Amino acid sequence: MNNQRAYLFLICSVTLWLISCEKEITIDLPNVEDKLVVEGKIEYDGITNTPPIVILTKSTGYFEPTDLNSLQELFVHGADVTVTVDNVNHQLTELCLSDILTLISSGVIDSSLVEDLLGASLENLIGFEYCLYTIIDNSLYGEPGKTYKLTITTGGKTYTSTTSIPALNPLISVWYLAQKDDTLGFAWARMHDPPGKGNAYRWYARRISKNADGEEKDAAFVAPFGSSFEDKFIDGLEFDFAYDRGHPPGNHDDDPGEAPHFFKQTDTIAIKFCTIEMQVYEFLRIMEVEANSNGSPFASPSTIPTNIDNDGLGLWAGYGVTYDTIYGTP
Amino acid sequence: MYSLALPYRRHYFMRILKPYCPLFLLLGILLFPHVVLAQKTYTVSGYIKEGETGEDMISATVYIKELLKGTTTNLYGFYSITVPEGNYNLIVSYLGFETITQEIGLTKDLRVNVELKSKMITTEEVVIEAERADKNVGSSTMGTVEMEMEQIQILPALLGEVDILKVIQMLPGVQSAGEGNSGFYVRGGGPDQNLILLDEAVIYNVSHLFGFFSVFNADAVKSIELIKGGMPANYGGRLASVLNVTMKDGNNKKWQVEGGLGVISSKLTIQGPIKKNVSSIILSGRRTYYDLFLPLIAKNNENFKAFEGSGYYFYDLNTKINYKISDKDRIFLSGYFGRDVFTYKQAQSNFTVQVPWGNATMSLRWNHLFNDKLFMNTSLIFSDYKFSLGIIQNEFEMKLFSGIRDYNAKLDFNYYPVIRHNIKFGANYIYHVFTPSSASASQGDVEFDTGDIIRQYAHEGALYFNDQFDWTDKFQINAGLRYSIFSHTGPFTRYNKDTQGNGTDTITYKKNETIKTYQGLEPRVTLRYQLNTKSSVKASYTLNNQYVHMTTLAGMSLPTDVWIGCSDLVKPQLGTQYAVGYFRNFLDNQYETSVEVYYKTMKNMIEFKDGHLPGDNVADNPDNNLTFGEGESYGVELFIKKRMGDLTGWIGYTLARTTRTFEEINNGEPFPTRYDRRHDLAVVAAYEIEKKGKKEVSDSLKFFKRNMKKWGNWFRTRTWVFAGNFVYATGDAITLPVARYMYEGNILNEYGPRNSFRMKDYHRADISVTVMGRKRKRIQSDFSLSVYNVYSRANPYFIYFANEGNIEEGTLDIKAIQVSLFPIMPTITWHFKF
Repeated sequence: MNNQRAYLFLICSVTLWLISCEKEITIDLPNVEDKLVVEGKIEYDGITNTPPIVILTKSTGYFEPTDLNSLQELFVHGADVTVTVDNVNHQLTELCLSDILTLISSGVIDSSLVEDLLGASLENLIGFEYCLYTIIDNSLYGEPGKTYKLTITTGGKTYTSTTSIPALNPLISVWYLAQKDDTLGFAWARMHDPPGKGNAYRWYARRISKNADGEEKDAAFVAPFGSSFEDKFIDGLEFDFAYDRGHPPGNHDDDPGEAPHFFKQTDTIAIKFCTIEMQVYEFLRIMEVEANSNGSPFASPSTIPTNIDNDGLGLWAGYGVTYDTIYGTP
Repeated sequence: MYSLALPYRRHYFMRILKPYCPLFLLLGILLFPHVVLAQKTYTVSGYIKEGETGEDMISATVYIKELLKGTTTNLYGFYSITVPEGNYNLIVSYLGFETITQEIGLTKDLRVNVELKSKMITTEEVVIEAERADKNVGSSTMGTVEMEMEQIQILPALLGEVDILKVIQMLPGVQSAGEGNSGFYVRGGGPDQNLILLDEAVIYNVSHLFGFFSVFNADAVKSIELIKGGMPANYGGRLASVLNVTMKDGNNKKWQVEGGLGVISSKLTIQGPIKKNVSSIILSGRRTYYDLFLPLIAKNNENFKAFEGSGYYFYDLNTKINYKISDKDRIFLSGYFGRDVFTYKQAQSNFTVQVPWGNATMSLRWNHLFNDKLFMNTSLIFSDYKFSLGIIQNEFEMKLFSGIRDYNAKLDFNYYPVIRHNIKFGANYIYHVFTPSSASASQGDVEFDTGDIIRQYAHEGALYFNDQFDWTDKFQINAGLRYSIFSHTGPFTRYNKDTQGNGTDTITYKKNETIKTYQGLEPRVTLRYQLNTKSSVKASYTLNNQYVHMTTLAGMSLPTDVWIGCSDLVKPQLGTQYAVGYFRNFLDNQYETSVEVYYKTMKNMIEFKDGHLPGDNVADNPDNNLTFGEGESYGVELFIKKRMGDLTGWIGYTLARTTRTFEEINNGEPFPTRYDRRHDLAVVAAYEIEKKGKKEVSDSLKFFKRNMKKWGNWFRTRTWVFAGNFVYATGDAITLPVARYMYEGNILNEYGPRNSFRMKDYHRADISVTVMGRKRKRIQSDFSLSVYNVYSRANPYFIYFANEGNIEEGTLDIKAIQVSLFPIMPTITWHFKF
């Protein structure tokens, strides 16, 4: 036993505070020049003729005020916006919410289309002077296979971008599947990706069944996180996939009786499934990651790959849209 | 007998070294004509060991008193000195051990093995040492630091868990990777540019979860050496540094068991002789048994909310066996195995995640002494690092995995022809198998096309020659040349892409088909000019090639970092470093000081392109998503170290700058790295009060004195060690948004120039008190109190932006939030030995 010595370490921690603490700090950020932000799209759904819609805003200092007045001031007015297709230029007109409401009431524009685009119900926007550029005389609408060039001139600078609408790829079938408690589930779909890589898609869903107030549960189509995907791993395959219920950006509150991320068995869900170009996919996927990371230490800051030239921001996107409906069962 | 032995020895020697003969002949004629004309010389050689445990002593000083010349022991405790015939005093010393002086009559080659006995650190030994230049001044190594484990063990430790990497971070020129993190950056180099060796096996990932713990179990480590500049030619393959960690061999005199029981982990170390003085074994294990960090962080921090309901543990196992076959041959077999396992379960939605990762290494080494002047070590080494992530949700299954595996063979010779020369030469061959991110995924019966697993196979080889020689008594040259070669071979599939990044076609290479070969010569020179026995100036130039790269996705090092080799697209990293330094010892070598200035350039560095996401590497070549650039780094380092006496410690200060320039990042403008720290200061001190009756307890201990009677005699006869450290560093350089904009109702950021913003400065003080029990007692009780972050500084860990409220309602509020990790944290550690 003499050459055997045993050590026993008894480590006792008197106090152990492992509390990561947080505090708000003030950061002096340099002032940078405002940039033009383009949120433009042109759709084809094979049913209605859809005009291009372009929203122009400016970027703003990070800690600038965020009240409605300040946001309203970000809209860019009086820009010269044209869309060129088949070598023909089409001038877009600026319309603000008051004009839009008039057009909706006169049946020129469908209210749901505007709500989809804004991602918010028109009701919520009353009193907020929301502006966009579009064509209301039906002289231009989206068609698959065509390429659309967007030209914007404002503040002495000209910005351009091009996009096209890929051929439609309807879902084979859609259904609801319970994931939890038999009554909560996800929206499922079966699709077939055509052979050849380079196809990309975007998924939206909208609960069109009514809530307790008698309104549709979602005022507009909602793109859940990870709404877009490409065919790198699914090229030429027929397969099933599912999406949870997303939240409209900037509003993560659920109505009473709703479970976050889940659809209900009783929900009637409209599905909007789009074909998109790869460059649109690249923008959307990084945009979604950025919108959800907010300076996490495990993410590195990314520049979102815009397709607007001349130091502009945002996206000019073509969508080939098909609609489906999952009917809720009581 | 002797007259017969010598010719035989020469014959044997020549036979073994025949291939090297032309080289030696040339060098002999050019460099040391005195060898050719030499008088009769003899060699004294042997091993230096620790008396109590029989452990080899690395870097012990051995010299001839009359000549004031000598050497230091190598990694296996071997030394060899060849001098003219005569009577000498051979002096062997090592800090903290009694110096041995032995008279030797050199009329023939002698083998002198010495066992040193430990003693309390006092100033006595400087009496002898003062006659010749100390190692700090006299050696021709620059930017090299050896740390004594005894010193590391008494310093304050986070949660009482001693971590050698956290001590290394307090050296000048070494930057920490953040709060509580064991990752380190050397002289502006990247995290992949450190060659981290555990018993010569490469460790590819040194951190357990979030870097709070390193993979090195302090109980199993014998010594550490860090080379941050002037890298000798026997090391290669990395640009920035070498961290050489040597495991204990195991006590070959008696059996020992050490155990630890703590809030973080439990430890057990068993070591002892299999056959006394011939063979010994050590087994050391550590495991966290309680998921301490995550639930607490998850509870208190919104950002980590996602970790709630998760489990986490890690374990380490170190083992080593050595066997002395004869006086000339020894075999070592050492291994490390460690795994981190993170699990996450959400029963309600049938969602499970399992993430295991870790290192495994194995080294088999054979020491052979051809003769008294030529020492050889042959190593066969296996290194493996694996990461995998498995996700199951209902019928959907996905697995993502990556890793690197090396098969390594090394041949290293130490040759000591005459006292003026210390020659190293050798060869190294590594077969690399890289598994960059690969995945498999399925939904029910449908297998998704995630591509074949594209492994990357490569051969890396090197030959080196290094000579450290005294040109004159004052002028020493440490010069070496390394030739390295790297060849990427098949099987391999290259995905070609068009300018838009869309796949066009693939090229398939057959097994063993050479895809791309790189090679290069790497000169390494360090010059030392000794001004007197107290001071010297040194200068060095090194050129290094690095054929492996680490791709990292996040702003910080994570287990998801993927190692890749050079390919037809990725060129080797090329680093050059120039350094000059002034070294001065004071007060009989009690104080070592140095000032070093360095300038470094790095070429062919890699980063992922903007907007890269982890899945992009799957069914693709990761190097298709890379962009390439350069780095530059310069700085000055001040170091004052007190090695001996009651008070020991050091002050290290670094003034530095490091930048990167990538054509496709930051508009091609240079940007600082995250760990570009303009100022970096560390003050480390330990004060020991030996209680052996003679020395009086100082006034500061009056409080304890008063209470001694109440507590019995327990405190009176103990040795006390007070230790503390203070660190200060410029805040991390981070990228922050400067503007925001809206898209589809989302708030998006427009970022300012990369790493153009600084977090607040980091500073922190820790203290500890250790009371050491009496060794002669049957039961020896030690205890220590360690207080981390004494004044509870809220150091920034990261900054995030919180967007609260609803845009539509005009209630949106954007705030910047700083997250800090560890406030003041006292820990008491008790240990008793019996």
